[in-house]
Formats: sequence, structure tokens, C-alpha cells
Amino acid sequence: MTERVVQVEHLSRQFGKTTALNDVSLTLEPGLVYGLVGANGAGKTTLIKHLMGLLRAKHGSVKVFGVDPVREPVNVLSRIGYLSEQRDLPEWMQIDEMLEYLSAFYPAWDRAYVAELLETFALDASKKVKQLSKGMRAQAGLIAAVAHHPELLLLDEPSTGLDAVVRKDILNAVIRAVADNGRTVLFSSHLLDEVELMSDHVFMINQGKLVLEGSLEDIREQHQVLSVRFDSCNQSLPKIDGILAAERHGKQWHVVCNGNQAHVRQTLADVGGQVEHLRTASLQEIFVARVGRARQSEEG
Amino acid sequence: MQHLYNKHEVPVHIELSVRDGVPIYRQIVNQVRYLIASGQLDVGDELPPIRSLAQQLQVTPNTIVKAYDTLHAEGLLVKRHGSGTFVSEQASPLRKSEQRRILTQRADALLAEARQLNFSFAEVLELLEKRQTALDRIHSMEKRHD
Amino acid sequence: MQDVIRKPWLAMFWELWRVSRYDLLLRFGGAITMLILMAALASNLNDVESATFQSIVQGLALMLLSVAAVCSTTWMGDLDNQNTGYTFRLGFTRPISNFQLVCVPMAYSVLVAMVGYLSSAYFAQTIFGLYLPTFSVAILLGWIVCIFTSVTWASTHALEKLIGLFAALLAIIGAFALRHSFRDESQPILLAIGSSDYFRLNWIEYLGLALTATAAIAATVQSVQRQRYGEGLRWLLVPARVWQVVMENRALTTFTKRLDAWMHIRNPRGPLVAQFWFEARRSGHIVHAAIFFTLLAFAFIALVPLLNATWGGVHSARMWVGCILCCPLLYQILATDPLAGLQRRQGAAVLSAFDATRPLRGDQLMAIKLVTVGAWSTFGCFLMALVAALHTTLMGHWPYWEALLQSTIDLLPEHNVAASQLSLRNITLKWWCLGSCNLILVYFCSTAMLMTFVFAISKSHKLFAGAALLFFAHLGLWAWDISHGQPLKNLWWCYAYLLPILALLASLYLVITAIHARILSTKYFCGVVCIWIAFLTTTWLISSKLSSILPEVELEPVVYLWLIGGLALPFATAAAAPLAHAAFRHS
Repeated sequence: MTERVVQVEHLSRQFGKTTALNDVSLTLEPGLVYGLVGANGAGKTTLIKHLMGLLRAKHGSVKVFGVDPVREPVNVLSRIGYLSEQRDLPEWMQIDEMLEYLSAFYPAWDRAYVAELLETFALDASKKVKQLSKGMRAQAGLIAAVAHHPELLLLDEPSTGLDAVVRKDILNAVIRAVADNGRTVLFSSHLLDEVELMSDHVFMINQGKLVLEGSLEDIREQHQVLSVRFDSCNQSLPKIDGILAAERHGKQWHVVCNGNQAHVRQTLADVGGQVEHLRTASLQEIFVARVGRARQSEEG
Repeated sequence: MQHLYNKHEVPVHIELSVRDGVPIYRQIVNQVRYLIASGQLDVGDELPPIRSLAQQLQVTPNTIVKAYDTLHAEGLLVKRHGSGTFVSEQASPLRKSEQRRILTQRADALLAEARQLNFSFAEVLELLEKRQTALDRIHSMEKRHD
Repeated sequence: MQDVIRKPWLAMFWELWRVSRYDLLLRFGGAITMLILMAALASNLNDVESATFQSIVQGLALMLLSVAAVCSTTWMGDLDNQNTGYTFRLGFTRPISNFQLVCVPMAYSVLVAMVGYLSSAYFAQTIFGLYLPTFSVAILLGWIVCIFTSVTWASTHALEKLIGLFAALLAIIGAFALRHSFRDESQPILLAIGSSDYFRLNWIEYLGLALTATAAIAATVQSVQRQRYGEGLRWLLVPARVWQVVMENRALTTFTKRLDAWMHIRNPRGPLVAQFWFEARRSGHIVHAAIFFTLLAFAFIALVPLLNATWGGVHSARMWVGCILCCPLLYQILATDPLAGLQRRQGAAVLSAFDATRPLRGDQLMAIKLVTVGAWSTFGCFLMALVAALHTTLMGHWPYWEALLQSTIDLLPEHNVAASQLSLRNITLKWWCLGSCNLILVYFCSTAMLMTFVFAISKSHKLFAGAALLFFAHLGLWAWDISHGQPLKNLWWCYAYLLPILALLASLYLVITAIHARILSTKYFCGVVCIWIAFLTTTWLISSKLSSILPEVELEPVVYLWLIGGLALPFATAAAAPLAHAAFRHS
């Protein structure tokens, strides 16, 4: 059994009356890429901040590299690379100054890698952060995040608002960290296609709760999309355990279900439905089904 | 036998689809198989290293590892420690059966489609023959042109 | 609410009110509190010749309320706005005419200034019987606000704005001075403006005000129109061109580039050094401030003797000593805010992620921040002292310094034999060292306290506002108490005993919490203890020396309590500063 990079147990967090995290438990094993998906405000950033010790675990516990990140910030933060959507870098600094400054904090700072990345991105290192465009800022932040080959790379919505070129730069850096050094990566994203390709393991979080967790293949195997045809148009679908979401197109229903498929098919047949087509669901469909359903149940 | 595995790295053309419903590593396995079967990858050709293929396809490296492992277990690839992944010698006898397998899949698809469109088997055969003569004619015209 | 807002200009008004209401409350609340304090003090000093005194109070009150009214528009500067020029750039995308875009916020700020002044003037009148001129001053204030706002909005370049504001200020002061000289007042100005007829304007003056205000608004509308489609209106073409030429000058650019390169960090020795460099660069504006204030002090001290014959070397020496002693406090305040590293995001203060993710412990970060403040203050103080020394040497004023110090020592009461023997010459080096050591330590602790306050205030405005309210309420109560023969004497005694005990308990609690939460590491804690012991020792030595000089006095036990509480406070702040920082870093 290898050492767990991150172990979160029963973590809950409230900001005023809103619940940002509700009894979340998860572990990250080394060498894997973890995708964190969830709607806006689902608690992704809150979770990532807890891992860096930027929020203190009030209920539950957070262990990163086996220690509490709030109690041992030096130990934990020097082994983490972090890139956030905000990319708040000090505006007054030049890129080369910033990199030089950061190198003091990380013994493993790789100057050759920094030079290579600067050349790949065609970044002018003598520019001030203030003068950088959004994409360049992300690239500078990325260099700052990966130059010390961190054991854990935390990317909080790294691709939001970026063009395809910079997105690819970010993903390439992630691939390199995992392929060459066996590092662990946790990244949150809205782009489900990206998550589907880039992650080995997915956490789906909704309104602070971890609603789905598993390797991408397991998740996809567990979720199926059925096309069901009914004889009449106004047939309503009965409530069946295992059906996450259903959408009607005339006589045809698209049903996303998980788990006990035989039971679902049997029940559908009982009410006169004829299963025409069956395939595994994409992450997009699973996400819409899971998150949408949770919203409906809250309204209902 | 060492000389077999010294060839240059061959660029592989693989396209992935998220909507396909087939796991990503499965798609890679199938397409590498096809590349070997169709002769685009020859015995002794080196496959791209994990990182560069992952960067090319923008997928997590572990998916590539899994795909290569599967192909390795099937005997299509061999791993040379420290030098890379190559198409194995065992791939060549497999090639014929692999080709047959791919063609069988296409034939199945054709027959299924024919049934859906209410074509009889005899009609399908007739159509195949017609297309064959048409393609032959085009082929010979092209040759004369050259 | 939605039913009422049917017109764009009403919506704009509502938006302005919504954005500015707390700031306005703060400004006028502050002014009125000051007024109350002033009135309370004034009622205590009844024995002064009353008519003159009354008009002095009225003059002061008038100035106070006027300043509050004119400053009531400064909240616009806090708006999230990168550009100079027109402030409400969001309005550019809305279907509103340029005229409305200028006039509605302008009318709002003018009205706020006028209404604010009028209401506080009436308040002063009904509560304290201060008869302040109302409408004429209100109109004058509105006019001033209008002129300043126009200049701010119409200028699209920082230099233009600076020159414009300065020119407007000069023009307004000039106009008042002219008017004052024509009135042929016999009284000094502070007495004169308190009298009720001073601001009674005639119709020509009103016409002048109206015409200048209209012209200013018209020019602003023109400028805003150009700003709306992205062009600036260069009011001052020549200075702007000069500025451009100067900034693009090759010698200057190579100089600034060299300077930049020199300030670059190269192969930092370790995280602490790198962080120190970072903090120092971040608060680098202290260099400008130090140079500016030093030059200001120098200009003042060097120029005044030319204008005023009675200004002698004694005054110069006094000024220099005052400047040298006060400037560290100034730099402390100026440096603390940027060093705290707080950013405003969505109305809440947060520590930027870049700062928060530095792999350094909170106490290390805090120590570096404190050292940085200390370093900048030392630099500023040294600069000031250097210029002072140069000036004094050139003018040959050193004897005045000696006399000044001796006269300070002579202030000690001469009941004692030791005191009469004490002169500047026989204070040994030991005592100079002890004294300066103690001062430095006090400075260090006060910086930590200030930093803690910056964090604490940003964390919970409500708590702080409550505390401030309580404090001001007590001030009012105290003023009332004094003027009514001290019926609340026992309450103050209670406080006198309670406060130091509370301070002690709070200190103890803070230190224990910080150690328990591992925010104070052993190393840092030992350092703090050492510094604290040094502080105690120097204080003890100095006070024992002083007590041998000073006459014996019977001290009440409460004084000792205060002493203990006061001595514990620096120790507590050492724990409180990292704790306050941690409250942001790990919320």
C-alpha cells in the first residue's frame, strides 16, 4: 500500500447559512489524475482550499502527505503546486523576478524546465504581470505552479476563459507531471469533455456533497442511456429506483439510469415501454442527470 | 533479434471520441490494432512514448499505460526496458486473423443495415458484384492514365 | 422600490445612494462626533472670554463641517476603477445621454454636500446653540464640490488631474482671499468666519458662482462625451506633452531600467531573504514618501526664515527634532497597510492566494513584515536625520540642539538633588543606548499592534464599528459627566480597575491560543520572550533611574495595575499579530 497523498474525512464547511461542503470523504492515491466536477458554487474551490490549508477544517479532518496542512504549512505547501482561475500574481512583479523569488521557497526548483516552458510559451520574461493578457497570465501562473515538480498539483478551474492553445499548454504540463514523475493531480473543471479525457478518477460534487466517485470507466459502466418507446404519447414515466433522469421526445424517452439495469428494464416493460437502444452514458449526461435531479428534489 | 527494434518512432494517427460510449483506452487499443492489421505499423516499429502520445491525444498518461498494457498482454506489443514500446514479432501471424476480424465486423454491419432496409441476401450479393466490376473499371482507367 | 424607479436618472440616483450610503454615514457621523467633542470641551472652558470664544468655536465648527461636506464625495475614488477621468464608466454602456451621465452624479454629490452640511448645522444649532450660517455656505460648498468634481472627471491624464486640482484649489483659495481683503475685516480670519454675516453673498457673487459652475459642467459634458468613445480631452496639452517627452526620454528610461535591474532579486539565499525582498518591494512607495517628506520638511525649514525674521535656530532645531521623531510613525502607518497584503474582493477583505500559499509559517511571515516596516522607518528616519544634520551643520545650529535637549531635561521637576545635577553632558552612553533600545522596542511592538489592528478591522468591521461606537459613546458620556459635576465617578473607577485586568486576561488567552494552535513556533516564541525581557529590563532600568530623580509620590494601586497591563500588552501583540494573520490565511 503506497502512501496516500490526500485523505479527507467527513469534511463539512458552512459559510454563514450556505453549506459549502457536507460530509465529504475522499482519498487521492499517487500517480493518478483526479477530476473534480460540479456546478458553480458546488464547493470545488472550498475543497481545494482546504487541501492547501487556506481554510481550516472545522468539522472533519484533512491530511495532505499525512499531515494537517494548517499545522504544517511549510511542509505541505512546498510540495504543492497551485493554479487557480483567479491567477492572482503580484501585479508589480516582472515574470523573471517572480520566478526568481519563488525559486527561493522550493529546493526542487527546476531552472531548466522554467527556461524550456518560457520558450515554449514564447513569454517575454521581462514583462510585468500587469501587462500580461489573460492567457499569458495563466501561462506564467502555470510555470510558477509546476517548476518545482510538485508532488500534488492542484488546479482550480485552470481552463476557464482561456483559448485552446493555452488550455493545451496546461494539459501538457499536467501530462508531463504525471507521465515523467508520477505526480498526483487534482483538477476541477466545467469542461466535462476535458475531464473525461484527462482524468483517471472522477469526483462529482453537488451542493457540497460528493454525489459520485470512482474511476471513469466504472462510472461510465454503471450509467446507461436507454431509449424507450411507449405506445402512447402521454404516458408518464413511473418513479423507478435507478433512474436518474428522463427526457421525452414524443413517444420516445431517453432515460439515464445506473446500477441495477435488469430491474429498470423489467419495470419499464411492465408499464409498456420497449427498450430500443442501449449505450453507456457520457460524463456530460451523467452530470446533467445527477446535478439536475438534486436540484429538482430540492425544489420539490 | 535486437536489430528488429531499432527502427524509428512511427507517428500514429488515432482519433478519440468522447460521445462514442467506448472507454478511451479501448478506443486506443482498437485503433492500434487496426494500424497493425492494416500494415501502417510494421513489426519492430516503435510506438510513441507514453508522454508524447498522451500529449498528442490530450488524455491522461495512465490511459495510454493501460492501452499499452492491454496490447502487451495480447502479444501485439513488446516493452524493451529503457528504450520503449515496439510492435512485436507475434503481431505478424496475428495480422491475418486481425484483418479477418475487422472485415467480419464491417460485413456484420452491412448485413444489419441491409436487413433494416429490407434487402434480401441475394440482392446484397448482386450489389457487391456490381460494385466490384465498377471499382475494377476505375482502377484500370487510373492505371492507363498513369 | 421597483415601483418608484421608472426613470433612468432615478435609477442612477438610487444606485449612487446604494453605493455611497455607508461612506456618507461614516463621514458625517465622524464630523458630528467631532462637533460633540468640541462642544463638550467648549462647555468645560466657560471661564474664557465668552464672545470671542463662541465665535472661535463657531469658526472651527464651520470649517469642520465644510471639510466633511467637501470630503463627502471622496468615496468615488474608492470605486473599482482603473482609469482616470469619469468615475462611473459602467454608465457608458447604458442608454443614457452624456448630459445625464454627468449631471445626475454631479447633482447627487452636490446635494449630498449641501444636505449634509445643512443637517449637521441645524443639529449644531438645536443641540449646542451654535449659530452657523446655513444656505449661503451650503451653496458655496455645493459650488466647490461641483468645481472639484468637474476637474476630476474632465481630466483624463494623471498629470492633468493633479495640475487641474491644484489650480482649482489655488483659484478657490485666491477668490476667498480676495474677498476677505475687500471686506476689510478687523478681526482675524478664524473669528471673522464665525460671525453670521461673513458669508452673506450679494447677487453678483451668486451670478459668478452659477456661471462658473455651468461652465465647468459644460466642459465636463464635452470631456465625458469624448471619453465615452475612448478619447481623452487634453486640457493641458503642453504639460501633457512635456510629461510624455520626459517619460520617453532615453536617458530616463535607461535609468529606470537600470534601477529596475538593480532591484531585481538574484539567487536569493533562502525563503526568508526572498520574502523580505518581496515585502520590501511591495511597500517600496515608502522610498518616495520618505524623499517627499524629507524635502518638504527641508523646504519648510529652509524657506520660513527667509519670510519670517522671528524664526530662529531654536525653531529650526525644534522642527527637525519633531520631524525626526514623528516620521517613523508616519512611515509605520504608510507601510503597514500594503504589507498586510489584503485585497478587496466582492466586498470582503481577503489575503491573495499568492501570499497565502507561500510555504512559510505565519509567524515567520509576520516577523518579516515587522522587520520590513522597521527597515523602511530606519531608512526614512536616517534620511531625515541626514538632511537635518547637513542643514544644521551648514547653518551652524548645533548649539540650539544642545540647548533644546537640555531644556527638555530641565522640564523634570527639580525637587531632587539628582535632578539638579543632571545635565546633557553627564548622561552617559549607557543611558543613551538604553533609551534608544527602549524606544525601538516600543516602536516594534506598536507596529505589531498596528498590523494586528489592520487585520482585525478587515476581518470584522461590525465588531470594530461596535467597539468604536462604544468608545465614542463613552467619550460623550464623559463629556456629559464632566459638565454635570461627575455623578459617574464610580463608573470610571470601575473601568480603571477592569480594563487592565481584561487586558491581562486577553493577553494570556491570546498567547495560549497561539501556542496551542501551533501558530507560534518555539523559535519565534523564544525570540518574542527575549525581546520582551529586553523591553522590561530597559524599561525597569530607565524608570528606576527616573524615580531616583523624580520626587517621591504616593502611587495608587490602580497605577501599578495599569503598569502591569501595559507591560503585558507588547507580549500579547507578538501572539496576536500571527493569530490575526492566520485568521485570514486559514479563515
